[in-house]
Amino acid sequence: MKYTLNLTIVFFLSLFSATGQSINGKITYLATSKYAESFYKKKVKKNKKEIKSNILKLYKNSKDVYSILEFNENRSLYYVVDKMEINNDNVNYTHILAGSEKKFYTNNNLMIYQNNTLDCFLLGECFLIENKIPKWELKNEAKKIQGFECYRAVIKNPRNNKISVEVWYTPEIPYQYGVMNYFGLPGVILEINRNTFSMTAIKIELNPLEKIKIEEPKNAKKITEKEFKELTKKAMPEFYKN
Amino acid sequence: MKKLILCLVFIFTTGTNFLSAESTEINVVIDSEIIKISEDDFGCASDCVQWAKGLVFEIADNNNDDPNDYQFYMDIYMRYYTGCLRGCE
Repeated sequence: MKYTLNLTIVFFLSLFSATGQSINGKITYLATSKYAESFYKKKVKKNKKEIKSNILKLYKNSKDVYSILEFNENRSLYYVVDKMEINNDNVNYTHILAGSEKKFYTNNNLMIYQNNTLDCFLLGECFLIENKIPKWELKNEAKKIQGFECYRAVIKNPRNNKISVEVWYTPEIPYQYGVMNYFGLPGVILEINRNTFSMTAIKIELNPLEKIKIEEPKNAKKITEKEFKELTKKAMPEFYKN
Repeated sequence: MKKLILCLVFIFTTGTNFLSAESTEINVVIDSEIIKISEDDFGCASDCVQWAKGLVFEIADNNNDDPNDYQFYMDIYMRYYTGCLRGCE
């Protein structure tokens, strides 16, 4: 009887200590597409001159951007710090790939685990789009990023089985948060590589003096990824026409 | 008596309203210049679609992606398209 009682006390104490170890944090990432131009020059030869020059201009004009992941035990928020320059001739490719003006929220409550994109740009009103968890393949490769032990995970393209996205996550920050709609790994994502785009954590602040508070977005229509795609198809049929 | 006066006031006011109503004629003026400008705008917008779409599909191809699979290709398209449309004005 005494043994069972002791065991129960130990169980509850461990439960309380586990829930008490909540980590707040802020991670700053640097996103770049600096290799896009040289990669394109090597790869593309037989293209129309006009398209080629426009794309080279796009890659050449892309500037590195900073983005931030803020998190506490219940929620995370990811966003790009720099504002997009509104200029007809100049689209910052890296800014768009890093998430642009969108915000990405992850809920990590006991009741709900969900990643949402807040998009107020594409359809002229604000939508909160529920994202699916990517199909990760965990690898046994490790490296250190900013002093944190990280492990590799990849997403494969189902059409050709080639790796389309590679990320490095750290179980030392034991939350399933990530950048943009890349989430659901047993640790926070500190690096992401997609073709010539890459984003790496350059500053990690854990448990800052001021606790991180993340408010849920208001006045946005909640919608699934599929429903949002249907709306974009209706709004921009010309893009989807063959 | 009061009711009768109220009825008369009602009939008088509604009657004057009907009398003051004017019939309107819709004049359709076909202005060739206006039509020409609209057609030009449409042509320019159509060119913008083709141009922006061409660029996005090229970028996606360069990345070995299908542009329909990733939302950011639509974002790039929209930025190019709206930027191009501003040039049509």
